[in-house]
Amino acid sequence: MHPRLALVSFKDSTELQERVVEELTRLCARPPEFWSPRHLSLLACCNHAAALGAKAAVIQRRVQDSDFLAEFNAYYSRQFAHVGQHCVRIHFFREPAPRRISVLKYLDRRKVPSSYLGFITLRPVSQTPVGGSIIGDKSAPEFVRCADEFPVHLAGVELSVRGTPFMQQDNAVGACAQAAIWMALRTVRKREGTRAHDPAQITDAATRFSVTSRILPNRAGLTLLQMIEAVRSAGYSPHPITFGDANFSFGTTLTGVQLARAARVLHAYVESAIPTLLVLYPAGGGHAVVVIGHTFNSDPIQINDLSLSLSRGVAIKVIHAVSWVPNFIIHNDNSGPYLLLDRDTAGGNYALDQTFAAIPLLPADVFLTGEEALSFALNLWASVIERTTEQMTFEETAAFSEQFVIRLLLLDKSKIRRWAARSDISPEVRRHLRLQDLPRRVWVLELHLKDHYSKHGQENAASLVGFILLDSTGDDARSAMLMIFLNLPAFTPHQNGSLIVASSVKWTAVQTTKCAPVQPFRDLD
Amino acid sequence: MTLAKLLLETAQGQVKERTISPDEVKAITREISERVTPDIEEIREQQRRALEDTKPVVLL
Repeated sequence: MHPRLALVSFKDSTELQERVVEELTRLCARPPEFWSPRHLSLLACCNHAAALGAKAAVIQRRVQDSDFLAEFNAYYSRQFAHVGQHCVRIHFFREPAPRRISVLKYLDRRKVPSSYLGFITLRPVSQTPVGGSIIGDKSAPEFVRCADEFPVHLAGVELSVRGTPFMQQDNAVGACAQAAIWMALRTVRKREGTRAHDPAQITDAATRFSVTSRILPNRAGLTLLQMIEAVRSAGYSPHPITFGDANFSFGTTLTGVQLARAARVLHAYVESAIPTLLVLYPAGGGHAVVVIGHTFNSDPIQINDLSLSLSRGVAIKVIHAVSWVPNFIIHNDNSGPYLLLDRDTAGGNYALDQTFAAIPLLPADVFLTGEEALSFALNLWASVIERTTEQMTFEETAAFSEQFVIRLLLLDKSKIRRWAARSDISPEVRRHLRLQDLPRRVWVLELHLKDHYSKHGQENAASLVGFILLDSTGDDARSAMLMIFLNLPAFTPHQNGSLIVASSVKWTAVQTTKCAPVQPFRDLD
Repeated sequence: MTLAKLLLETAQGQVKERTISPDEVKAITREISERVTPDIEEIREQQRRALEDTKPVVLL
């Protein structure tokens, strides 16, 4: 019997892959000729670990992985041919392993825990070996918004990895839809304190009321409605958002307008750290992935803006923050973690313009959706622009409007208060944000100066000059506004800013002290 | 009174902080409602229509 823990060193991804394949061959008792192209995910995980700087790995054998045990109990234990119930975990470290050092001595070295990069779990299923895995997101200059810190215990050493859980479908208990749902649920489990079903539970929940094919093996996948039910059963508000029209089918793509809307809608949820399931209709058949972040380009190639009509017949454009986002970052169970989703299908890969629908894991206590919140806040912003620019010409009004960038995100009130306590915002705003009654979650429409916003790629730029806070539990236009702040001296000749605080008890108007643009809410988190 | 007018008057005025009268609140909330409600209703209507049209496509 091989030892429970073993230490291996490798110099690059190729060598790492050889060691992993060797371990998988032993685990599955099947040589590589039985394997399939589905190993793309495994190789992508190895590449990602190597790109993070992994130089050593601890192989942990005979692991009772709860997700695979669920798959085993539901399916593999009922097969005549032997399938083991144990998994192998490969833990990656940046700290090189000296020659001939024992695994315990290596783990006890001072620098080793801080060089931990995460793990992959190998199932004893040679066709689809990547079980529940978490590899760090630290190498990416991109913004992986949907991630968490996960504790790992190994031979008495406490380790920690920040990342987004990843899993490959096993093509028996679950297909791509179940894998995407599992990744999304597992990412937010700690933060939301909700259930994170294992793959078997996801399949059970999804097929509880509607069945289209065999449940086990579940090779036919899930429909959109079954995915919605699985999300609901895990305690989230099922909110499917469609982007394509009724004629949208395999191989068709979104129009430019539809694609721009899809990007704006997704951006709000991803910025809110809400993993969002995407239902793609590529030519080859339906597929599901989960969006977990985005890249940032300080020089937008294409501006994504919204047109607003002012009552005096002037149409203005409002620039959306997604203009600075060339790609969303996805976990794609059949090709790997932390991948860029192309905007269009020209590259031959999965792309955003194949997206028929999205399902964000919207917390059940959020009644105002991101789309509604954006519309609400934009209407308020339009009324401000209308009043502020009433003496201006059409050209001046357009130029005034286009100096701003808007960004929408859902934040916990604790984060808002923490931001207020640390921010250089006007003291009056700070005081009200820290003392005002707020619902647990608040939609925040941030107003940024465009010239400053472009700097967010390199640093936490001070670009925020105003915000609108909306009650995420409110679905009535009369009561959803909580607060609006404009740091007018930052973009008008006014000497003071203005804050309106709205509550069910009373409304307060507060003149605010002049201050420079400040860092946005999330950056001081 | 409108929300935008209140914001600008507050910034330019001599009073540092004041409670807005119930009549002013009523006028502002009515203005907000008239501006916002039609668009929100349109979003909800589109959402309902879109789901009615959804085909039962399987995701693999």
